[in-house]
Amino acid sequence: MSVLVANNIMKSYGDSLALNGVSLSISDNMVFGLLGANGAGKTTFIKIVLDLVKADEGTVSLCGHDSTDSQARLSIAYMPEKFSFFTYYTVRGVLDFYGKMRNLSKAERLSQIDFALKKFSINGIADKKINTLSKGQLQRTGLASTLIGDQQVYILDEPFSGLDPIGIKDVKDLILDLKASGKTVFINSHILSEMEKICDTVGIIDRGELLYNGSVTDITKKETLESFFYKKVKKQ
Amino acid sequence: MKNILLIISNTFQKEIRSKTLIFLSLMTLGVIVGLNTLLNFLGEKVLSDLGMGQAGGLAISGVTLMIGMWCYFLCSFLIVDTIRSDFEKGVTSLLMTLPIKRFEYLMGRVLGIWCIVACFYFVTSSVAFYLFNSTTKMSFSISLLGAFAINLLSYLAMIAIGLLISLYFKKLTGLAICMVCSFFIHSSNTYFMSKPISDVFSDFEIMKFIGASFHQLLPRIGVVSTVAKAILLDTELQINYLMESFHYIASLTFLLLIIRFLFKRKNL
Repeated sequence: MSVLVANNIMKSYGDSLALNGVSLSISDNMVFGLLGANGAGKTTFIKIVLDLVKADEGTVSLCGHDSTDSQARLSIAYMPEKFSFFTYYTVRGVLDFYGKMRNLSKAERLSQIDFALKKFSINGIADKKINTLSKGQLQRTGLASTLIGDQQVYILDEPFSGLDPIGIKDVKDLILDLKASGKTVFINSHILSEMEKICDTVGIIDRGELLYNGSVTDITKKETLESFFYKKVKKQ
Repeated sequence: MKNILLIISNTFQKEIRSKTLIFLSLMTLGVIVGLNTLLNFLGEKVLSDLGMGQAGGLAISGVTLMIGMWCYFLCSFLIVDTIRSDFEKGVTSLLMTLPIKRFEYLMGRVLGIWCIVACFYFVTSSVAFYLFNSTTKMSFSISLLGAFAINLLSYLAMIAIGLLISLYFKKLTGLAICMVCSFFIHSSNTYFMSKPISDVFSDFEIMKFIGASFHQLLPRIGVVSTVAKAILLDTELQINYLMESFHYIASLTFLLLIIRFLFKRKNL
């Protein structure tokens, strides 16, 4: 079953074409990585999926709902490249806000917040305000927020950004845990070596066009993901 | 509804820290205490035979009008500040990835700021009344509550206008446009309130036409505040209250629908 289906997405900003007829289908219980150089159209694609940016043409469906329907967002968790929130909230307050938005009861919120804080080793800073956190702590808070609620699709934009090696290992473990529990993870990242290890399928996008969409195993039988990506993008 | 309440509570938490709000509250309280001290002094030395009740009534009317003016500024400032800072810090886009409708977010912000302005208005007016009451032995008048309630309607409209502006302009520019708009709407409302619409075409001028468009299309905050002033000062107004009420509801609904349409299509 496909949890994310994008059909012929077109988007331009003035004269510049950001996405040129991108179509993509992602099945459930898999880790998908969207790879591309800076300005390739990855972030625009994610923003269209999340209905933050309107496509000029094409449709996106998330777990059977049109992406413009707020109900579609009940089934997704999103972590931006740079997580930011109201600076006067504590880490626990942020997670509680997410829990309330996702219709969790107080008991559910308490147990899920405790779990998320422990999962990302941020229970020591649970009562610290957002504006006192380091970049890494802020990223961990953003990642912890995705664990509040019971979503089907996790969209992580550059999840390794700003994290130390321990943080990177925590994120990889999280992604594999999510996959093991039947969830779908959509990752947008530049770190090809990590993507090769954790992704089942990848999409390569360049100058708004999807150049490849297929299994990582098929690629790694012959060469590394890095050299495959380099060849695909350079050929353009 | 739950989402709107959550955003209202978030708006309270966010804007209650606003330095402008704290400064205006302290300054207003300072003016009230200063004026009260002056009345106390005059009561002992000068006004003892002239009727302190009347002086107190005038003082509280003046202070209420001043508080009312601050409230217009606060409406513009708080809505522009909260919406723009959400945009600039990337919080709007983050919130919109949660299961909340875009219009629910906007309504939460509007109602949250309306509540803050109402609290400011109520608290400062109550302090003023309490102090002047103890000094001048003036009696409580129901017109104070009437003016309070009517003024709240014009603040709601001002917040909605500020919201539309804040979707497209940065903080300072947005605030300046809000203040100019507020002045322009007040002026056009005051001018056209006692004139038929045919007056626009009798002696056609472009500014008059723009003023008439503002008067017809936007909520008449000038008329609403004039009604509040008339209630406060106990004067009579020659306006069609039913027609004005209908116009207020229709124009505010129209404005909110336009905002909903625009924000739904806005790239975040």
